[in-house]
Formats: sequence, C-alpha cells, structure tokens
Amino acid sequence: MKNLLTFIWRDWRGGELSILVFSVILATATVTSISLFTNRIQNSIQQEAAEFLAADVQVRSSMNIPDEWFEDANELNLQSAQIQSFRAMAFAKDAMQLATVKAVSNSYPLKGTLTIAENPADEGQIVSNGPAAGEAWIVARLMAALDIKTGDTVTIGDADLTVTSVLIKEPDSPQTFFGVAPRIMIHQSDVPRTGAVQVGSRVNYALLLAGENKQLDAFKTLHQDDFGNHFRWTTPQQGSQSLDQALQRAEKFLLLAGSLSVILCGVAIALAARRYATRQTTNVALLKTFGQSPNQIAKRYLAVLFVVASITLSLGFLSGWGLHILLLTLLADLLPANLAAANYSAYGVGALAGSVALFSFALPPLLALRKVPPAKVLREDSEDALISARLSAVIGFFSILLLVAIFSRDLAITAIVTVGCLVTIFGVGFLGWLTLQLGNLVASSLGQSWRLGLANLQRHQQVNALQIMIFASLFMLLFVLIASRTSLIGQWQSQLPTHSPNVFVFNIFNHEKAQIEEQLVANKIDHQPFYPMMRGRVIEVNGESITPRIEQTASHMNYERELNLTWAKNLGDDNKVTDGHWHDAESESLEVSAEADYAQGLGLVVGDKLTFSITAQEFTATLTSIRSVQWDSMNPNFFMIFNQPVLDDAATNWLTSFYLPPDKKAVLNQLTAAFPTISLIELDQMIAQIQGIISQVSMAIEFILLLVLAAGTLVLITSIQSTLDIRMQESAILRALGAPKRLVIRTLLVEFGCLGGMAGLLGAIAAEAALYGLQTRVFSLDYAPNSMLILIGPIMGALLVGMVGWLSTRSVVATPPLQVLRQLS
Amino acid sequence: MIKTEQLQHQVPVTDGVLTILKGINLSIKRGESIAIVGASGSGKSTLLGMLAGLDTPSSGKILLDGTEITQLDEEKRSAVRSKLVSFVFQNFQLLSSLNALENVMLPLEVANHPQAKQQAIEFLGRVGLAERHTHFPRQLSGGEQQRVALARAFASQAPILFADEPTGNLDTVTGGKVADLLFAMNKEAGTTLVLVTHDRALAQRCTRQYLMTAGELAELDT
Ligand SMILES: Nc1ncnc2c1ncn2[C@@H]1O[C@H](COP(=O)(O)OP(=O)(O)O)[C@@H](O)[C@H]1O
Ligand SMILES: [Mg+2]
Repeated sequence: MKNLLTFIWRDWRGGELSILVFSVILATATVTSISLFTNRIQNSIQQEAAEFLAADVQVRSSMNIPDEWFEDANELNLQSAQIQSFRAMAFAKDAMQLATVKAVSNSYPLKGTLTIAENPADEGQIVSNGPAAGEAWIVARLMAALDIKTGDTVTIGDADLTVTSVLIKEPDSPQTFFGVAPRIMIHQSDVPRTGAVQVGSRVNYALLLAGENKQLDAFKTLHQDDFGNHFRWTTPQQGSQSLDQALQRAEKFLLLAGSLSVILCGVAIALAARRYATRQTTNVALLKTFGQSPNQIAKRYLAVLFVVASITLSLGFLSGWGLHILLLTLLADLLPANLAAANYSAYGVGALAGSVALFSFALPPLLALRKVPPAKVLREDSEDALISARLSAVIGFFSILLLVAIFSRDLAITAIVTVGCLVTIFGVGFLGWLTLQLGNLVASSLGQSWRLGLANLQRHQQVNALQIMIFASLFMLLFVLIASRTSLIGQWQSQLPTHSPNVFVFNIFNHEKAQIEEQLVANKIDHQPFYPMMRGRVIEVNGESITPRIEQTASHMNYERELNLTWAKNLGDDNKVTDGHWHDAESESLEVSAEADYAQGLGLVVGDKLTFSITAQEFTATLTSIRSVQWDSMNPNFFMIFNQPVLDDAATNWLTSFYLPPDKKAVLNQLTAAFPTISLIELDQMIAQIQGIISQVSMAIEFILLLVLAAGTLVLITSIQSTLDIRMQESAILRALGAPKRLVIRTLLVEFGCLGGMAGLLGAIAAEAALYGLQTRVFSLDYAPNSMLILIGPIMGALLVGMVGWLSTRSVVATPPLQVLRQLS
Repeated sequence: MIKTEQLQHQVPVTDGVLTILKGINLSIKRGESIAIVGASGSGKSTLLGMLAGLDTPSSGKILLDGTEITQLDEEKRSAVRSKLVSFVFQNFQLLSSLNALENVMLPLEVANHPQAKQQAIEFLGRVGLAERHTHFPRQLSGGEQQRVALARAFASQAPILFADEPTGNLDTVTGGKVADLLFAMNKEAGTTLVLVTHDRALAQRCTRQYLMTAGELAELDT
C-alpha cells in the first residue's frame, strides 16, 4: 500500500497524472455545479409556479369539497386550505358593482404571500395570511369604482364587512385570461352571511394542498375516481398554459446544456486517460524487466485508478459545490432570495458522471498495460496505443450516451445527441477521405508549408480522424448550445414585447362594443381587435357522448369544463394549422377548428362532427382543422374557432386587449364606472413574473454556456496535447534537417487549421441535424436552418484549433531540436 | 547458468516471415562473462531479450539456472526475471519522473526488498554518485545516467546481468569509464554477464566472444 502511494505520488510529481486528475476534477466540478445550480433553479421555478397556485396542487371543482378530504389531507401530513369564489354585488354608500368574491380559509395561501396596503398608492406590505372574519380586502380599482377607502364598510350580498386593506398582490393571480378575476377577498366564515351562495348559484371551489410529492400522490390515488369527474387535479405545470411553455423550454435547455457539459468532460477524461496509459507503456516494459508480473501491473494501475478516482471525485464534488455557491453569490441580485434546495440526486450526478467517465475511459487502456511486451525496452519504437482508436471510440460513444441518459433522464435529448454524434463520426470518415484525396490532387501546386502540412495530416490519419471526431463533436455541441440559447431567448423576448397587452376586457355586450372602442380611442389607447367570445362545451362527437372518450384520455385537461369559443375569418399569427385546412370563406355549413392538445386528448380527427352546448342551445359543426396555439404569446386564444357566428349579435359577448401605460390606469376606472358589467384582467403582475423568471433563466443559461465553453477548451487542449509528442518529434526532425523555424510554424498552422476547419464544417452539419431535432421535438419551436453556421463553422474551427494548436506547440519551435529529440527518446 | 537449444525466432512481416534467430545453441557457465558482437540488425538484442525471458522464441529451449523458461506463462517468467536477471540498456532507461535514488530503488521495491533505500544508497555510492541522489535524469550527463543504471542493475544482486550496448550512447572516454566500472562491479559480485556490443575492445574484456551474423551465432577464438 505504501509502495502504491509512493508510486502514485511519483507519477503525480512527474506530471504524468496531472492532465487526467485535472480533467476528472473539472468534469466532476462542472457537472456538479451545473446540476446543483440548474436543479435549484428548476426547483425555484417550480416553487414560483407553485406560488401561482398558492399551493403545490389545487383540486378545483364546481362542487363543495367534501369535509373528509380535509381530514385525509391532514392524515397524510399535507397542509390544506380552501378557496370559494363566486360573483356577487358589492354595495357602498353611493355605488354598486358586480364583483368577484374570493373567500379563503385561515391557512390560505399555502405557498407564496399576499401584498396589501393601507392606501392604493402605497407600496404595500407582505403578509402570509388572508383577511380575518368580518374584514374585506379590495383591489384598488374596485375601491375607486365604489368610491370607498380603507375603514369604510362594503356590503356583499347581505353581509356588511369592514374594508381593512387594499389588495395589491395575491399569489394565485388569474390562471387563465378568462378565469374568474378576484376583486374582493374575504374570510370563508363570512360566506353564509352574504347569502350570495345558494343552491344553483355558480361557485368555484378549490382545495389547496401542499406537502411532499409522495403524500400528494397518495392523496391523488385515494380520490382517484373523483378526479376527471367533478374534481380537477391542478398542478403548477397545468396551472398556467402561458408560463408552462416558457418554463418547460427553460428546463429542457438547462438539461441540454448540462448533458453537453457531461459529454465534453467525458471526452476530456477519455483523452487524458488514453494519453496517460500510452505514456506508461515504456515504464511498464521496464517494470516487467524488473520482474513485475502482468497481474501485479494490473493491480498497480487499478490502485492508481481508485486512488485517483477517490481524490478527484471528492475534490471535484467539493469544488463543484463551491462553484455553485460562488455562482449564486455572483447572481444574488438576480436570483430570488430564498432559492429552493437541490434534490439529493443533484448532488450525486457530478461524481457519478465523473466516475463513469473515468472508469469506462481509463480502465480499458490501463488494464491493457498488462500486455505490454517487456522486450519493448530493447527496441526504439514509438509508444503505440494498446487499444485501437476505433475500439476506444466505440467504448467512449456508449459511455457518453449512458452519461447523457443518466444526467438528462430525457429520451428525446439523449436520442438527438446520439444522432448528432453519429453524424459527426460518419462524417469524419467521409470528409477525411475526401479532403485527403483533394489534398493529393492539389498538393503539388501548393507552397512548401502547405505540402508539408497536408503530408502530416495524411501521415497521422488515424490520430487525426479521432481528433477531428472530437473537435467536430465539440463544435457541434457548442453550436447547438449557442444556437438554442439564441433562439430561446429571442423567442422569449419576442413573445413579451415591452408593450404587449397588459389588460384584457371581456364580457362586453354587443351594444357596449362601440362605446368602449370610442373611449379607448379617445384616450389614445391602441387596442387589439374585438373578438366575439362565448363559453360552451363539447358534449358529443359524431353523435356519441364524449364521456367514454374522457375516461380513456391520459391528458390532464378537463374536457367537461366550459371552453372559450369564438368565430373568426382569419387565423392569428400565433396559431398554425397542423391538420386539415383553415375555414373556407365560401362554406355555408358550420365548421370549427380545434386546438391541437385538446383535439389530441379527446382523439378528435378532422371530419368529426362535434356537438356543442352553448348557452343551453346545441350546435353541430364539422371539425375542419386542428391548430397548434402558442399560448405564451399573451394574445387572446381560443380552444375552438367557428367559421361563422353561432349566436346572433345581441347574444354575443366581446373581448379585447390592449397595452395600458402605467400613467393611464385611471382609464380603467372610467371604463368600469361606465360599464359596470364588463370584466377586466390586469396582466402586469403576471407579465412581470414571467419576465423575472425568463431573465433568471437566461442568466443561468449564459453562465452555463461559459462553463461548457471552458470544458470545451479543456478538451481542445487535452486533445492537442495527446498528439503533441508525435508532432514535437517530427518538427524537431524537420528542424534538425535544416527547415527554418517559419516553415515549421506554418506547417503546424496548416495542419491544425485544416483539422479545425474540417471539424468546424462537420460540427456545423451535425449541429444542424441536432438543432432540427431539438427545435421540433424538445423545444417545440419552429425550425429555421442556420445557413450561416455552415460558413462560420469551418472558419471558427480553423481559427480556434489553429490558435490553440499553435499555442500548445509553440514550445516545440522555441526549444533546440536536439533537446526535443533527447527528451522524447 | 544459461543454456539454449536450437533457438529460432521468426516474426511476421508484410511480405512473409522474417527469421531473426536461426537455431542458436549457447551455453554459459556461472560467473562467466560473454560478449556478443555483430552488425546492427543482426539479431543481438533479440537474442538478449530471449535469454532474459523478455520475449518467447518461435521454437527451441532456453534454460536459466536450470529452469526451462520458454514454456512458462508470463506470470511465472516474471518471477524468474525478478530472481535471476538485471539489465543495463543502451539508452539507460531511467524513469524521467524519478530521481537517481528512486530509480535505483525501483527494482528493489518491485521485489519487496526490505532495505531498498539503504541498498540503493550504498550502490549509488559505489558508482560515485553519492552526492546526486536527488537529481533527476535530465539533470545528469549521459555517463552519469548510465552509472545510475549500473547501480540499479547491481543493487538487485541478481546472478545474471544483461547489458545491451551499455556504452553505445556515450563518447569514447566516458564509455571507457562506464565499462571499467561495469567490469569491476561484475567481478566483485561474481555475476554472469551477457554483453552485447559492437565495440571489439570492450568485447575482448569478456571471457568469451560470439559473433552474430544475420541470426547465426559463432564463437570467436580468443
Ligand atoms: N518484433 C519485430 N518485428 C519485426 N522485426 C523485428 C522485430 N524485432 C526485431 N526485428 C528485426 O530483426 C532484426 C534484428 O533486430 P535486433 O535484434 O534489434 O538487432 P541488433 O540488436 O543486432 O541491432 C532487425 O532487422 C529488426 O528490425
Ligand atoms: Mg540492438
């Protein structure tokens, strides 16, 4: 044991182990820090999303939540709260207004906080519970409409309540644009007094739950039969369609970036391990002449591996943890104050990836050292690798896939990365062959350094093929990452233009439409078109009730609820027909276009006859198209769009949206005063929240990109280092033969530049393939080819590899050739 | 001590097979020193490697101290090497990451010698490098490096020493000094010496000389 440690210490001192050790530490640290960081951001995003629900889960229903459910929740150690919301008239001294009342229990909210203030203009204070019995909290606009202030009395139905605060922010802001907008918050014990809730009146109930996922699942299983029937299980993911898409993409990107860093680190370890093993061959041969047996050699290097693994993995883990803390400190201003904790598994991923990479890449070549012929000490041949490049590429390929699968636990990402790598590997074979053929053809007409450089390329064909493969994969990964980052961030920015609509007005009666429009124009507010809007549900498909379909569907959607419906001649920009054709202007029969997720969940196909129930009347329409909808566009969107008016004008409600600058808030008061029955949603809060999350995620993405770039550079350097010996020897011989320094440098530059150029081209092609898959399968964005990449790729590759190559081999040219030759012999 | 019977060695090359050793019969007694001379490429190193059990011949027998080593597996052959042989090479073969003392200690450590360090210090002293323990190979001249190699070879106190062109990389004067040291230590230790060289003068200091020509060995009259 002592001998072994001495041996390892000497190897370390001699610098043999350093590249391997550093790459394992860096790999483990990178993956650990990325995984901790992304996991915590991910968890925070979920937590924040949970705040959108004020809970981890909301069970929503139009029926009262049975009392046993609260007991069940209690038994499962889940926190619970209740919300009831309904519409009621609110009266003040001189005014009255139809309002939405939200009655909450003591423990509301389970997640997130409320902000209230004394006066509408105040900044407000954060509180963690709702109003007490007898109190009412009212949003500023409604207070203005009712012309009351805190301290006054408001009457809801039959109950008199004291207005104690202005309600500024509630965690569960409107979930959908057309959901019910709470205006007055009261304690649930006051509900009976109001007399507003009678048999037959429309009340929405929600049971709020918070706790461990396991317990939540247990609760869900317990009441399995009720969900999908009258009760709807709503998680943050389903809570808000707009936020959902943005967050899902962000999470996927973080996963992708993490996976790519895993790959890069794996490659760095593979190269370092191979180099270490190759350089050990002479030593092993010598040790064998001293009588060390193959088994002893194997044991010796196994021990090296284990010691190196335990030291590097723990150092890597610690520095990864430190790095993520540093990162959090640096980004403190941008991140939420209390970032969620990481899952246990996130701590282990780095070390797991590091050890899988280390063992799968280092074990085979080190074990192969057993077979070094001792007679090698008597011969002067170069140090050849004991395991063929092809075999190590195969082993490496599968280990890397395993790593990505372990890290991402995402089939699509793993598959796409695999395809990218395969394109690279096969591309190398073809491109390498092609270039060398071309090189042969043109070589004679080129200058000396070109001829020598190209000759070098040919001579090191196998080594070069491996190196191009590595560089190309490296470039592919970088291109993929940069391109996806750019398109994601661009996508988010474009979908949230600074002046995107922040106010939605709906429940506008037909006769109010013209007046409202007039008022908006008078206030110089640009509004979106007015959409007709009605609520209705699908009751039959092809003459059969949809109930059996609902029972079969795996989707979370509630198919019995009322949908937002409209009719329109033209299709919005953020909608795309994926099946069938858009409404024919000439058609006289009733046609309808359905949103894709909804259609898929119910198993609808183009040509189906759908029967709708709208305000107690039934209509049957032919499904002529299925549309994908970009819900996060912040524009009004609808599940069903008819080709012609279904209801006559008098019975139609309208909807519009517009951007309201902060200094024109008063307009809202005018509107609600003039049209007391309209409903209004202010999206500012939600938009701010989305923008906050997006800027966080973008920061995270940019930082991770940096880490991955660092890992990439490491790979580049390691890879060049691993072939340095051969190149040094050749350059020394060249110089010993009298070649001028300049020629040697140029030869190296040509060689590395060509390598880089080819790798860049291949990387760009493979990246294009991977991006296609990622954009369409993982990010659900439109794919647009990045034609510039094919151009930039090779140029960047040539410059980068040329530069790193030149920097690493500079010393070759600086040292006298004799010394180089002697060192190498 | 060393005996071969009809030793043949062939290696596959691109166009057929190359016969490097063509039926070599050799017998070396304990304490003898023999020299093998011959042109470069005649097969001297190959033969030396066979005799030391570094490689196995295509056919024929090799007996080292009574043990037939061609039939042994690599594990057992290692044990024989550890007990019986030591080496000096043309290009010294010192590990560049180890200092002089550690290089000398290395075979002793491999053999689990209980006093590896004292033994190594003593032998470094004998080759006149007592002051250079902590120097690394790159800090030593060629002659000094080969002296470290001599200390390493003799410190293991193996009964047979194989030397492949020990002065081949050194200038005449330095080479002469290294050779003097080699013979002096060999005499003192009573080692059986097999020396490969193309330096006739060096060869003549051995008890017997053989000439290697294209894989065939013939004893020279002395
Ligand atoms: N493993 C091998 N494969 C092919 N040729 C070999 C091998 N080992 C030795 N040779 C060839 O056998 C011949 C003898 O080599 P060697 O014993 O090193 O000669 P010497 O030491 O006398 O200079 C040389 O031509 C050498 O190239
Ligand atoms: Mg030789």
